[in-house]
Amino acid sequence: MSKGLQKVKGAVFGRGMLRAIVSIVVFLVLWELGSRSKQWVGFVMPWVGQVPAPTAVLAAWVELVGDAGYWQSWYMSFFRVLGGFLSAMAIGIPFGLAMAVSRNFKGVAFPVFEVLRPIPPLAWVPASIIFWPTQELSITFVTFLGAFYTVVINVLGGARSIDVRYYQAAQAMGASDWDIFRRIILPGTLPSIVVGAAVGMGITWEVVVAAEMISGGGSQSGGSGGGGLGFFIWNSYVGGSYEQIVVGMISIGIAGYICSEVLRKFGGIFTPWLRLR
Amino acid sequence: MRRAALSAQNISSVRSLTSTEDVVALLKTTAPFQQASEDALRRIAALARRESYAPGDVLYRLGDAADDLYIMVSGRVDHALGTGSGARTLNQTMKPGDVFGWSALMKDQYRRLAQATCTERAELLRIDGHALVGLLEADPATGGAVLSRFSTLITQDFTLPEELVHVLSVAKRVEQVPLTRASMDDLVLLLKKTMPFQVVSDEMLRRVAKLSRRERYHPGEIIYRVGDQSDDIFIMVSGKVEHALGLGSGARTLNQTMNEGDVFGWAALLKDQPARLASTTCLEKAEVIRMAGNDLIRLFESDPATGDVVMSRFATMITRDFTLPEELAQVLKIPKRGEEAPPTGLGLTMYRMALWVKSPWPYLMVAGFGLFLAFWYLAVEVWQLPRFKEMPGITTVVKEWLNPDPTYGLSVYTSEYYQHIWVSVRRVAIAFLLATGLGVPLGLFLGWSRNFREYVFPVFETLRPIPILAWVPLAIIMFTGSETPVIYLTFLASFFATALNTMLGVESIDESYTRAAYCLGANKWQVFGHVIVPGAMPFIFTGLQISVGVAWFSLVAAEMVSGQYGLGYVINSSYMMVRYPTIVIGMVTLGAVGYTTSALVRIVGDYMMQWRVRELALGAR
Amino acid sequence: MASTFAVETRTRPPAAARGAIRIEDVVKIYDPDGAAVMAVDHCSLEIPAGEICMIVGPSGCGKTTLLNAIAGFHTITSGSIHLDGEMLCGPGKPKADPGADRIVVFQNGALFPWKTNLENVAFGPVVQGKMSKKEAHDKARAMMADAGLSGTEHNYPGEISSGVRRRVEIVRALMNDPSVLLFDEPYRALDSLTKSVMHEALLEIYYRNKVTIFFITHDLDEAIFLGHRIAVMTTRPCRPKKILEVDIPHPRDYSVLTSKRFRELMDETLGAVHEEAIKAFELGEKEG
Ligand SMILES: Nc1ncnc2c1ncn2[C@@H]1O[C@H](COP(=O)(O)OP(=O)(O)O)[C@@H](O)[C@H]1O
Ligand SMILES: [Mg+2]
Repeated sequence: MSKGLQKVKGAVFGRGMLRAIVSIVVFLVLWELGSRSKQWVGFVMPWVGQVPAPTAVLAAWVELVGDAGYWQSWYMSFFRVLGGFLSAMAIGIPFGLAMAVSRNFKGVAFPVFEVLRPIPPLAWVPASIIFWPTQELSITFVTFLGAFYTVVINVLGGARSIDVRYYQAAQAMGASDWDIFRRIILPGTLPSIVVGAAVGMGITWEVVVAAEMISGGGSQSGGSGGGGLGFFIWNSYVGGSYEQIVVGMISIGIAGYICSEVLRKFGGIFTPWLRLR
Repeated sequence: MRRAALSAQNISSVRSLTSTEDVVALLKTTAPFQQASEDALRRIAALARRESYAPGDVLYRLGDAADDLYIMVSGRVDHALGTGSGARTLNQTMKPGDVFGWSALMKDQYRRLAQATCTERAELLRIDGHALVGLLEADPATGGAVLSRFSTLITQDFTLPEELVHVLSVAKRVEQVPLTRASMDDLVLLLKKTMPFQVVSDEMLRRVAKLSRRERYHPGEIIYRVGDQSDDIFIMVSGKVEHALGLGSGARTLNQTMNEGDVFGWAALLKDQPARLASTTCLEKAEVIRMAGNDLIRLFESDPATGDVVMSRFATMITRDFTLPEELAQVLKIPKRGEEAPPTGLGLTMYRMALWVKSPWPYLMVAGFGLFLAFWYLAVEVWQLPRFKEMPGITTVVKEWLNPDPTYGLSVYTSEYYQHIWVSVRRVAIAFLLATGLGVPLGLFLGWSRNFREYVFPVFETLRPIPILAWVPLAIIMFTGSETPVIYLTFLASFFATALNTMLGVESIDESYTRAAYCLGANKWQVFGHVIVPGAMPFIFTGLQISVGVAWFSLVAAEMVSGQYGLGYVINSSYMMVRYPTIVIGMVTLGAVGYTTSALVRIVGDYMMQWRVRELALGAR
Repeated sequence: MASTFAVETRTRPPAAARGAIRIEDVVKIYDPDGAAVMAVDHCSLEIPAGEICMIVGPSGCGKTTLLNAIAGFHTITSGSIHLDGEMLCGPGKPKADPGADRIVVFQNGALFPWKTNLENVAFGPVVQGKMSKKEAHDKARAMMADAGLSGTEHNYPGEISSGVRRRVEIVRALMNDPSVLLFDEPYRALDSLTKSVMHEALLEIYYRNKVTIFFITHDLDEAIFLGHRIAVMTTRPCRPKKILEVDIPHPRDYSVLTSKRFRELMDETLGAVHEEAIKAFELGEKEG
């Protein structure tokens, strides 16, 4: 108990934490100074001078907290990320496993996969808009593509990294092909599926934001809601409220961070044997 | 022959006048000659001279020429081996019946390994080594037995395998058994019983059998010795053979008895292992099948599917017997479908091509692409499926792409096409170089200096979760013009990837490397240059690979949102202007260019990290 | 070959000119997040110049900590360590400066994988500025040839067997003419046959160079076969529990392993170590 408490105290007031606080505070102060350089010194700092000051951003944020449209943007983006991510997992994992299990299937599918992979997901946006009936679906599709490649590559890598001795041991104990798949290939690839999911989640956020910006928010109404956080940023830019751009950026950062953390927790539940002793 | 230590008056050397029978009787009491026939002993006795020595006489010294073998008749001689000789006991006293000076029988051992000093007035039989070996070679039956007894004698006294390598070889005359049709079938049956060939088709076994010769060995005959050339592998048909591995071979059990169905002599299949690791001696009248390792490997190469299986079973068999992984690293002369070994010369490339063409993979690959393209063609242009019919069809795209006078203004014949490519490549190149130039040093210092990391990394970590593309509007506000924001965005993505991976690379370096460098007298900056930078290199290049990827990723987004030129712009503007085939041209070009750049990074990485390439080549077997 | 050795038969180490280590009352307390871990507790040990001193003790007892203190990889909390009368660390100087007079051979080997074996061996003199690159390479080549390592000069460490790697590492250390070699379980990952070859090779090197050797192991055969003395350490905190003289004369060879005296010493050592091993096991120590 007291030892645990000590640890917490150590983590909170340890040297590393103090320095982190110092470093972020210094960063914010410099940013503030840079942004307000025109007011205070009468000289516009290059680059930073154009960026709204942190205090102004904070003020804008406080105003937005009561705005339903802002939260609606959160919801929309989350919704799309989840859609793209889950479909990438649902299709990517079986696809990867099928390639891992069948050499023939891999021989057919993998070269095509490898040829398509270098095309950045965002290059698919126009094609996707043409193909899918709704913009919602087309954004989800591009998001799906972003995570799909990563998930498949990780499943394959994971399956390849399984120690042959596990197969030999299983065969020696009379396991059938199905047993080997279920008890060796599946758990053996799980850790790298978890890693692939985490990376894929990051990419999903990147893609969602961009797709929202490029396709103009996905809903015809425009407005401040409905379009997701990417559109929120774009709209703020078009509307000239620069503080809101930064609010939007930070919001996406937070949203992405939450997703990764949740995913890490889930990953830990699925792969208990990787927990540190 | 001249020994400086012996002055003439100390020796009373007389050509033996006593009867040959006496000498034969004496030889019979010694370990190596015990079982030789009377006849053979008589011939050996004819080679012997009798000499007597006084206490204090030195028979030979360490490093003297080793010409003769000695057998004690009476008296005592002190025999002191050098420490470097690998002997178990350094000092021995030789008594009547003992044999010493057997260096004279060793191949490639022209010097004495010990010093022999007379301590009590001694009489000895002295036999010229060369003459003895000649005699034994002329009579292999006796010769094999005598020499193998000598080997045993030497092994008892020595621990070092190198010594054993040198034990003399007697040319052996081996009895060949002709192969008839009936015995061919037997052979196939027999092969089926052996571990490596169990799973091979009868057809293939027949071809293996064709490579085989059948031989008979008699007890005491030596099939091969440690250090002999390893050309053939052997399979036991009947009888017993003793298989004794050299100490240096890393084997689990040194001595094994081979029985029917056992396989030995697989050194013939090892890459870079031109010499035998073991000695084999026939114990009971034995029949073996023998085939040349190279023939077998050639056969396997012509049928890689079977070859792989057999070789991997060989590998398993060898692993069971060996503890050292290094041995295994060398297993298999068959190249694993072109993955391993640095490409040396056109011949190898051609050879691999040939292998690849023989495997099913190219056909499956063609089938894969065929399916993909056929579906595209059929769905869009033939069946005109609901959603697909809006899409640009494959023939339209290809026609447009290769059209000297394109409908929508972009094809391989227009200069604009190359201008767009050039603009995108230039942007990525600038951003990538900038990101590498700033990201690698930043990452190195982040990893190297804890203080620096604790102050800088938190800001880095706060900014990193913000997707690069969320920076688009801010970038437009911050930078004037349209070129700088695009490059900035591209740079930012690359920069984070590079810096982060470099930092992880530094952290991944085992602390013992830096410690070793400090120990050896390096200062802080030398450690940085000799350890931190090269040690982080693998991670840095992983980072750079990712960096190129994300550079293209964000470039496309940036070009689609703002920009006057570039492939991303082509894709987006073609959509706006309803030039659908051009969209696909843009996408495919983007993929090809992107792939090329990341391949370039990989090649540069391999070039700069030869050590790693070689290590991995070995690790992948 | 063998003739290079004068045959000395002695149980005590030869009096070497340098390399005497005096460890006095050394205490080391690790302090991660305020939870103090006492790794070494008032440990005193004197190692005369030219001795092979084997350090034996259960896992996690603090052997490596002691070695690191001598090598200068970290600070000590109190006490002092002297080398040939000169203070390495002690009051007012908590951390020794790492230097080429005390070279460590690490458990998993620390040949730089990105340098060829030759560059590795030549590394010390080059970074110290004692030789030009060319001189260093020439000397390295000669020393490698002496140690039977010719032909591996231009290989990278990743391409040679682990036994050969250890030998290259020892040659790399000897290039600097050190007074002390510090071994931290260098042969742990090797199989017993390779190990036996390595032991003889090490003794051969020792007979030629007469450096002081501070050798951590928990292989008792190894300890008795190589050492002049064996210091059996207590479970954490680490302190010599018992010091055994190995009165088997040098030079030794493998016949020693089967001698009666060897068995007796084994019994004695085992008794001392076993007790500590049980304590350590019950504490659930992990490898440090
Ligand atoms: N840097 C460190 N911080 C905290 N505790 C450490 C550190 N290094 C080692 N320890 C602890 O000190 C004890 C001794 O470790 P070590 O000297 O490595 O043992 P060993 O005898 O196995 O070499 C162990 O309990 C280990 O957990
Ligand atoms: Mg340790």
